[in-house]
Amino acid sequence: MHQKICKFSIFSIFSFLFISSFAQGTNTNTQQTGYRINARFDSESATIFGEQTFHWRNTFAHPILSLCFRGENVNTTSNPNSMQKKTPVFIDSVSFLDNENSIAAIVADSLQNDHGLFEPVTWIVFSKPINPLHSLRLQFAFQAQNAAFPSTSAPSVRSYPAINWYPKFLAYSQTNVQIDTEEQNIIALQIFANYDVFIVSPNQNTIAASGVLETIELQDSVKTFHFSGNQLPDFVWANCTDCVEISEQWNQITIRLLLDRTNENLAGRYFSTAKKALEYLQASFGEFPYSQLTIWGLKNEAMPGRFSGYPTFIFAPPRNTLLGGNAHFLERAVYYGSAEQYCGGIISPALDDTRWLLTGLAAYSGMRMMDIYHGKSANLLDYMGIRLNDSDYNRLIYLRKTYPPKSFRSNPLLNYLRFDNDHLQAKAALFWSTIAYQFGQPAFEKILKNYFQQWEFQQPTLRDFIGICEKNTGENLTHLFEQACNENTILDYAVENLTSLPSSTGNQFETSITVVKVGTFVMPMVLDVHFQDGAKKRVYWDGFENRKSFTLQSKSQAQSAVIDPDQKILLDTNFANNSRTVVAQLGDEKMASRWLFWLQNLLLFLTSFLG
Amino acid sequence: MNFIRALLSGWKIAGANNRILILYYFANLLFTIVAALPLYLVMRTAFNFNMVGTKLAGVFELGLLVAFAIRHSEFLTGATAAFFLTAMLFVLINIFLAGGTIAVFVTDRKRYDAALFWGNCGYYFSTFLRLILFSLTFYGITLFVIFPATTSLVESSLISIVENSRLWAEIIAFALIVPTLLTTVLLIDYAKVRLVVTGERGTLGALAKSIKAFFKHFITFVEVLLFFVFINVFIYLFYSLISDFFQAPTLFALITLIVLQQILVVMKLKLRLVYFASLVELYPHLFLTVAFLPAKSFAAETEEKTETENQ
Repeated sequence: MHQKICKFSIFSIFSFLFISSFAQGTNTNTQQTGYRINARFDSESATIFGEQTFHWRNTFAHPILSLCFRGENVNTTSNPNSMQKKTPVFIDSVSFLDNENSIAAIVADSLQNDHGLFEPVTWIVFSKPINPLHSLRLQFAFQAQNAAFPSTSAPSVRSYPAINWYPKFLAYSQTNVQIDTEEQNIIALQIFANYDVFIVSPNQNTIAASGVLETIELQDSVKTFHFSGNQLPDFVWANCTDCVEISEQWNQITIRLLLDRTNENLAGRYFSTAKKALEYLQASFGEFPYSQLTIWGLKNEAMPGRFSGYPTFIFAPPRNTLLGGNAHFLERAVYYGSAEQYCGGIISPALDDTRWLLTGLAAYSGMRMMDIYHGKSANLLDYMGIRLNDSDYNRLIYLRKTYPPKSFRSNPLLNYLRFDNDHLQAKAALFWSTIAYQFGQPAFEKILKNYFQQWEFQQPTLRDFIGICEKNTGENLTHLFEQACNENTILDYAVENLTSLPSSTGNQFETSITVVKVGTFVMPMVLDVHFQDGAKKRVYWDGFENRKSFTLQSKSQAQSAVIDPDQKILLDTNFANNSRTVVAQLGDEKMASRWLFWLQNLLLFLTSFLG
Repeated sequence: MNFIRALLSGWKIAGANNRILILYYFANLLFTIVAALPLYLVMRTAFNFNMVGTKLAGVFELGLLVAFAIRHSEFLTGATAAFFLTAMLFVLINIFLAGGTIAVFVTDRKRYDAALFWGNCGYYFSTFLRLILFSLTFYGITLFVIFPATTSLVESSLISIVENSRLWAEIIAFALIVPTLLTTVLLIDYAKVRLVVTGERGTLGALAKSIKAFFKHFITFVEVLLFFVFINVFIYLFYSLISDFFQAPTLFALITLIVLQQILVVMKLKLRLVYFASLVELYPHLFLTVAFLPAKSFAAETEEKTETENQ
């Protein structure tokens, strides 16, 4: 009897695995892929070359004839003149390690990435298809060049990040690949894989990478760093010379920090921020699944421009350090990068939805952490009376794209926003914040926790996440998401008119308010009317009509009317028209006096040199 | 202590010519009002009757203002172009006024003499304009040739020493370029004084003699430079400290702040006039023999001469 139960259990498990592999194609690629890479880094020429053994098992229901590998290394930089630098990853040779199959062709092609740009890829076409549940092992010899940025300075050999540096499995095709044709059966994949990586680098270098640093071996003039990582969606590393490495432990997680020697004093800020981030994320979304987290706190030329969290690895260069504790850009990078550990490290969203589910949700969590740990007001910058919120910063990135006149693009005053030019990610973060305010933040974070638990190490789509939201809230949210996903939809509600006059009876005031829907995005609205005696009346509006008027009776005259009074709807493109006051305010005069004073000083400065 | 003596006399002479100070102040105010008015009117439509206006009356919310700039970016681009045009006109006006101002200081008239002032404004305009064009060429070379070259040179020597070599190279190059630019300003202004005192028209000659005097009396020139740079920084810091008390969103605070701002502008203009007057007073100490140094100020001496000639 006991034997029968055992047999039945084993049969059930295999049946489940087999059936589930057919149920949802993208769910089943976990633990089926492996990379073993032996690479050597030549820091003088910034070249990486080596061999890679790639192991993959076809868990799809159909045979696969071609596999696609990424062939381009894309680095971004903080310098707006050279935002992106692309260098090729050359595949020198490919061979089957098993003798059952052979390579029919190697085809160079290009695929559209999640930024909408085409990047070169290499298709490997097999002579025989790989049948379901069959495995393959390929051996690559490759070399990659890391980006250097000669437009800003001579190429620095002191530190390099290496992202997309190895031939990475990106997509598959059931058929032979035909270039320049619409390939309906190509599905881009971000696959969780196990990594075993050996990097040989000159002795004076320190390497930080995804996964866990297992050993460092010293041999004559070189060091071999061995990293391993399970269930990682990608593997990045970075090299530096003469940098400081400090480690601290937090709840079984080792935080490894690499810093420039001149910024050693920032270590405390990095560690305390990382610990706060992990504390918040663990409490909100569940256990951090890795034992090591590496923070790259070095400033260099070839650096990802925006905050970047890669699997177990955060690029958080120190920015605006001269402002000291008055600016929290460093903290922002660590919070956002840590949040990406969950959104893009534990869950690997379908490629089309990465802006919404990966960076967007990470930015939402980052914004929350900024609010919690640095206050809701001026939490990003508070210096010499100049104040900026993180949510406002994200709004600006979004607005910049919403109002894109040609002249604005060349305006140097606002060029800084190009540093974080991912408006879709900012839009997603603002949308998630708006949704979180609608449901209540604890309720939304519960939804996120469910989502992370349900889709751990899998590839959900946006539709899956909406499903979880709808299930938890009992509301139909599809129309909201559809509006948000539409590039041309703009959310803007305004208080157009406010009058408050004594009524005909004489002992009361009649207040008329007109609200208008300026944009095309429909959202339920709350309107608060404040009166001079301190009273407040709240009015609800479904937001559907283009214009709506309300009339209220009150004992005292109205002072102001504010739509979305708590500024919960962060997607609103214009906060200035959200309110109306009966009496003129002094803001424009104050700004005019500042502006006049600045101009006077500017002219004085100019004439000091030219007068 | 040539410099202190010149400074004290300069302060006295500039103080005796408040009409010129008023003229400079109103020119500055008029041009800035013209440049600022369009933006004020747009801000008035955006912030006059709403809560953002209330907020901005108190604090400087960068997010709200940048959002405003994004929404009105096309207008701002036009306004910036208009500002540059206004600034250019203002520079020309200043070049024009400089001749009259220096002439008044050189002659030290006790009463404002319109003919002397405006006559010299017109007389020296073209000469001073040539000087400014020389200086513009030099600034251009400094900023677009010397600065990048220095940066590259410093960077190449720093690249193996510090991580962020580009930034450090830019900081060091900037620190080297600023004194060069300030010295150029001093040399040009000194050349203007020389042109008015000697009545010469040759700008290159005046500039060459200024350079010669600069190297001969290096310490005195450095004293002048440092004094006027630091006094400007000091009064700005003092203003910043005081203005912090008047940031409340009330009418009283706003009016007080505007008054403070205008006092600062007047002080800066006054310093500029004192600077010119000091250079005028410094002139004989640097170019003439020690025996000539008069008990009276140089300007008074010159005026006496002028009056004798007139008689």
